[in-house]
Amino acid sequence: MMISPNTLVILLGSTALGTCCGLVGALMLLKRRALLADAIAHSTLPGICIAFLLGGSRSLAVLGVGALLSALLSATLVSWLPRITRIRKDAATACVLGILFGAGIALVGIIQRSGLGGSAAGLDGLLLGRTAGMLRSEALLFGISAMMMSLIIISLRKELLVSCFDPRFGLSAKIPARSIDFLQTSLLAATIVIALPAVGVVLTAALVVIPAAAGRFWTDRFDVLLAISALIGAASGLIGTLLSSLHSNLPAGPVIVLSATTLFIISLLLAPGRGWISRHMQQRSRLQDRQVRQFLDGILSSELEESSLVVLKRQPVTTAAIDRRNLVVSSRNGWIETDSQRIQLTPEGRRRAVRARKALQIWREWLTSEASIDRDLIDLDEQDIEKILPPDLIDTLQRSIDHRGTS
Amino acid sequence: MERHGSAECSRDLGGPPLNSPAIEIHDLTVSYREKPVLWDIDATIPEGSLCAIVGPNGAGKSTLLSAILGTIHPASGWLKIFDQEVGKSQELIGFVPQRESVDWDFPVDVLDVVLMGTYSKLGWFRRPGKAQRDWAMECLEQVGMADLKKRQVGELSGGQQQRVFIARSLAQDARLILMDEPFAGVDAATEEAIRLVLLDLKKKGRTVVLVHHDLQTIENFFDHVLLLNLRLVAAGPTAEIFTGENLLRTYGGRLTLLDEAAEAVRRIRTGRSRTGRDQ
Amino acid sequence: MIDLQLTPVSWQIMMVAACAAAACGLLGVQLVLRRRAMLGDAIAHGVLPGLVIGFVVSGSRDLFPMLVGALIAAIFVSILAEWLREHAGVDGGAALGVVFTSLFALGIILIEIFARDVDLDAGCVLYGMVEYAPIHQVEWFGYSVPRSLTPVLGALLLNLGATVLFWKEWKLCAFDPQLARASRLPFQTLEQGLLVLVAITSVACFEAVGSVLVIAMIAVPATIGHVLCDRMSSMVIVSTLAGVVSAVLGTVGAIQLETGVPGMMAVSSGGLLVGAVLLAPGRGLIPAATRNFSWTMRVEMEDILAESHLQSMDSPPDHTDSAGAPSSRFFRILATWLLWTLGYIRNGIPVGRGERMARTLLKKRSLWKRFAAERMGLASDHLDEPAHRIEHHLDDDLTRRLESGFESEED
Repeated sequence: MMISPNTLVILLGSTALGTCCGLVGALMLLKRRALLADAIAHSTLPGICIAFLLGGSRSLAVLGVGALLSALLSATLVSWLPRITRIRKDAATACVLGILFGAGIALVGIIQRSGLGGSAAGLDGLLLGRTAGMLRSEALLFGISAMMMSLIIISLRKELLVSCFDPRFGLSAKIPARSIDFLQTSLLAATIVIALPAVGVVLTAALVVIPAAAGRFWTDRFDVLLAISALIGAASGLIGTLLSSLHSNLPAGPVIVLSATTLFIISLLLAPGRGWISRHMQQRSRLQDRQVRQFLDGILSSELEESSLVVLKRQPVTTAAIDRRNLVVSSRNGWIETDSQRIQLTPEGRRRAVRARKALQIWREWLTSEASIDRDLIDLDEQDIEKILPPDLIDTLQRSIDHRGTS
Repeated sequence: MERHGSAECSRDLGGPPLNSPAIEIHDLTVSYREKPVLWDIDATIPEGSLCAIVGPNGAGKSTLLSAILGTIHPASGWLKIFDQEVGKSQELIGFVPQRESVDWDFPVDVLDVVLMGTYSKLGWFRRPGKAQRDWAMECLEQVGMADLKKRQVGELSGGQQQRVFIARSLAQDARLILMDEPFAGVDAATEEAIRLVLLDLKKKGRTVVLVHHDLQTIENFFDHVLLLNLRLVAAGPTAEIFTGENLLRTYGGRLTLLDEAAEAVRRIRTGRSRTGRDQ
Repeated sequence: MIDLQLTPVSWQIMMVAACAAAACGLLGVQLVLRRRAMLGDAIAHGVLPGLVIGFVVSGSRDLFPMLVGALIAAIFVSILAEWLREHAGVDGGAALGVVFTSLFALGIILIEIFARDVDLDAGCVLYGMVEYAPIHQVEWFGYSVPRSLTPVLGALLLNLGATVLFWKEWKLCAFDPQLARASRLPFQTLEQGLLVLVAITSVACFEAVGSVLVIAMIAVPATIGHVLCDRMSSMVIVSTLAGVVSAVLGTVGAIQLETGVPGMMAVSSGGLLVGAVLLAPGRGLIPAATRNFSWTMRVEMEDILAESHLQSMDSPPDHTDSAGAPSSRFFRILATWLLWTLGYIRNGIPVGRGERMARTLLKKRSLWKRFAAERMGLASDHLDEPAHRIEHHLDDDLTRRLESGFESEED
């Protein structure tokens, strides 16, 4: 497949743009300000119109400055309004968005009526973007921005971490949390402003939100999250541009966004640990483990010749399929021995069953002594217990059980 | 400044000499939304003491901590921390926040949080290196959390979360550590662990001030107590002031006229009439 | 006097706009109270694919199938966002953002594929066609009204009915979701019903005023109500009123400036919001600043009167002057000037009313000091601190009670 130089430029530019959006989006996600991007993106409109009216030219630089100023204004308003009034964050964001964008629309109307040259096509371009027309200079701009942003984030990593996680700690860490916050907002505003001509208003917000949300599924670490968001953003830019170049009538912006969405869905489903499939499988396997454990416990009961009441209380409801699987798993692991008439626990299997019983006892002991919960209501697995209770606590509880002489 | 090894002796601590009290409070009045929350507080907390702030709900205990931290500005009066104005030597103050105020879903692990304590000494653009990491691990060992260093903070139990923030204060090498109800809702073993850490801190000469709710445990553990109920009921060594009479005054309800005066202040300052509607 | 040029056509536009604003404002209150103000934005964008699919399925440019498609898409948006939040652990705002931006992108692509040649004019959905409202008229009871009034009025009546019917339940769900869940209320159903209403209202208003304005009309009038009011009942009234006023001002403004009505409505609502924030009685920024200023002035004036009175009686001053920070020196000078102008002070001695004020203040001060020292055990060096100058705050009732003896005071 031959890629024309022009397409290459666009590819690189989109990739760089995606990287920027992914990086800044991760920061916004961590500060729980995902929708700020949408508000800022819409708020650039009045700034652009005013710049056009005042500057008289349609040079991107002039309009860009106007967009940046009104972007910063809207970001400031969204932060300040909750602080000085009782307006809450979501209402502030929605109001700023609606009012400023409405003002922008009104200004567009004025410009159109006054015949100064603004056209509906121009406005649509701003809303939807025109990646196809990306110039070399724009791509260069994106590339430089991506590099600068990466540099800033790498060098200010700990400052950003404190600002996002625990701003009150800033004073103790000698980090000016407010200033760092302003820096992040400015980066967001700048990213949106430079992305506008290429991707359009709504889709810029998309690129800021979606890659970061997708990245969150893959990791529980700050640095890795930033890297993966950047990667997914870059991949979206790349894939989207490639795909849209195959169909000449598809604008690249939406295709890039849908690529990001696809990556989001893939992350949602497939990410190990936090992904849906993974969690589902974890739950399944834990359920199966529990069924095997209960199965072994049942055998232990009969071997200890416990009274039928106790046995009945412990028998869970099973199906034939579950029974079969229990048998297969248990014998494969060497926990039971079967001959034609009975099933018997191996020493290993017995050890396992006894230990499981003890763990359950400990758990119930803890619940009744510390948490005052009726012991019959709770039934947890070994792993849960070891995860929730620290080892020293388990020892303490075990000692108190032994001391009490319960078997 | 790189850290090599822990600071066993107080000589390593930076700042003014040890004779000055850790915290000096004079006639502190703090208001929230025009209503006095703390009024006329006079107290001195000596360095190296283990001090409990005790009082009924709404007595202003958390507010006092915030005033010491400098996040709230007093309406009148002043505070001095290590003989300096509030906010001047913030790196010397460690704070273990209440659990509700932390974003536990944040992608940081235990070691990351403790490393934050070293940031004040690193300055811009520098990353924590091996020395900081080793130091952080020592602090984690002190609170018994060293093997959980890679756990994401949301996966810890309540007591473990407390201990992580204590470790952060240790990593800060804080001379003064503030804690807001650290023992609330914590199981017995964790309570024991926190207790041991606090005793260890005291041995090292740190000052620990915490808001505490369990009156039973105060006499045997804390050497200094502040009884608070909007005003200071009493403050001083536990043995002297932790008496039944003082406790009665702390928990026994407020002076009605004082309440009314406070309410009058608030009404006038917010422009509301007696019935509470806007004028 | 501005020549308003309000023709019957303008009135009709205003009527449609006002009804749309009111309909959105009613639901906006519920959303703002539940911290979901951005839902309007999400729905406004997320319905785009629904519109296109409706168009494709019906094969015509009829509005109805498009609106049905939009409605389905709107419901889809809220349900999907909710699912992401609950079951996938995605942060609330991000969940909404992912859903509606993706749907918007999808919508644009669908337009390109299916509707390119037909000029679906997404702009119509974005900005609405309220200016064209009077063009298509229908007959209602013998009156000729704009056709787009029908869905808008329908939504308004629907929301009004729901607000009245579910008043108690919605109030509880908004203020105390825990309690609502715990009580017998079908919490989930109620909340989802609210979302469906939002979807219906948004879609009903799209043709009239466009999706952009829906965003503003859902959020801003309700926020104005939130700033000004303390109860849901007054909030609903203020919100509706603010919406209607925005519609009126917006229409007038649009005519004057020769631009679109929706934009001017948003701007008007913004102006009202600014006004509310600044001027709200009690909480507004300007009344608060004014109150602080007049309070400081009053304290300063009373102090000066008291001091000069003591001086004139050759008594020792009550307290030494606090070191003048520039601001307090400013107030002192201003207060002195004002006292002189009002005639309360002559030659450094309080006279007439001024003397009476001085005496009252001194009496209150000594009462309070005595109370503070005897009853509250305030140390003497604390009595002069500004925070303890309670004498300025004591009204007559409290003074009397102090006077009539401390003995009856409970401890």
